[in-house]
Amino acid sequence: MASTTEYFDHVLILYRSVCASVNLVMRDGRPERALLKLNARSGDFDLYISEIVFPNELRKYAYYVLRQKKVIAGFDNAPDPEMLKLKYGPEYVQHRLEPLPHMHGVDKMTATLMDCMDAEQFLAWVQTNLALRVDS
Amino acid sequence: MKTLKLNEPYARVLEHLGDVQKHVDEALYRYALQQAQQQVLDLESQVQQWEDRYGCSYDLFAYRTAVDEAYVHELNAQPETHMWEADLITWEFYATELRAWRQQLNTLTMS
Repeated sequence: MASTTEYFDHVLILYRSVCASVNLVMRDGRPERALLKLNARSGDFDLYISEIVFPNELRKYAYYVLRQKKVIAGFDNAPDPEMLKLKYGPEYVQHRLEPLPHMHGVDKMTATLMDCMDAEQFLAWVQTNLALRVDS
Repeated sequence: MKTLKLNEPYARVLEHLGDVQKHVDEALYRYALQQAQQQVLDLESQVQQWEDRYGCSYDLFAYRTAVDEAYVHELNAQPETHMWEADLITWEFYATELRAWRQQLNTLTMS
């Protein structure tokens, strides 16, 4: 991956080029970790991006798409105990606190395991699966 | 020990006061202490918002969300905590920074 600064710059440029409005909520770079939080509006959907990047390229993220304050989908890699059980079965306790990429469905009523995602892939998912109008 | 350059006007003033190194050390100590104290105050203020919202420390929240399925279901079911995973990572960022700056402050005051 490019440097964290370049990655965050890329994310901002991408979202600003695609979404009608982008609100940079937080951007904080420290020697040991960097944080980006932004909200964006595209079509009828509100997108919420939160991400921490560490020097060893570990990323922790939470991306949500909402419509009228209702969660349509969410993607994160928090160590969700239900997801850990699903992936590791009875041995899941040995993996507690381990980042685990997964997706939440409408109103977070469902959850499924998936591959790791980044902010660009999240935007592509939204555009593909929710047929967004592109405001450029 | 690191070597720093001292601008000539400051060096001239400090030379008139006696031991330049001693004065530089004192000035840097006060500045570093002030900066570390301000960082701790700012970070405490950041962290407080999540502690108020979830009624616990970051460590407890991180532990509960990693082991307590019922708690996670509860968070997922409430619209106001639907995006708790975003809070978790942002909270982690500032709680970890706070811990590090408290350690820096402690090191400074013990030196």
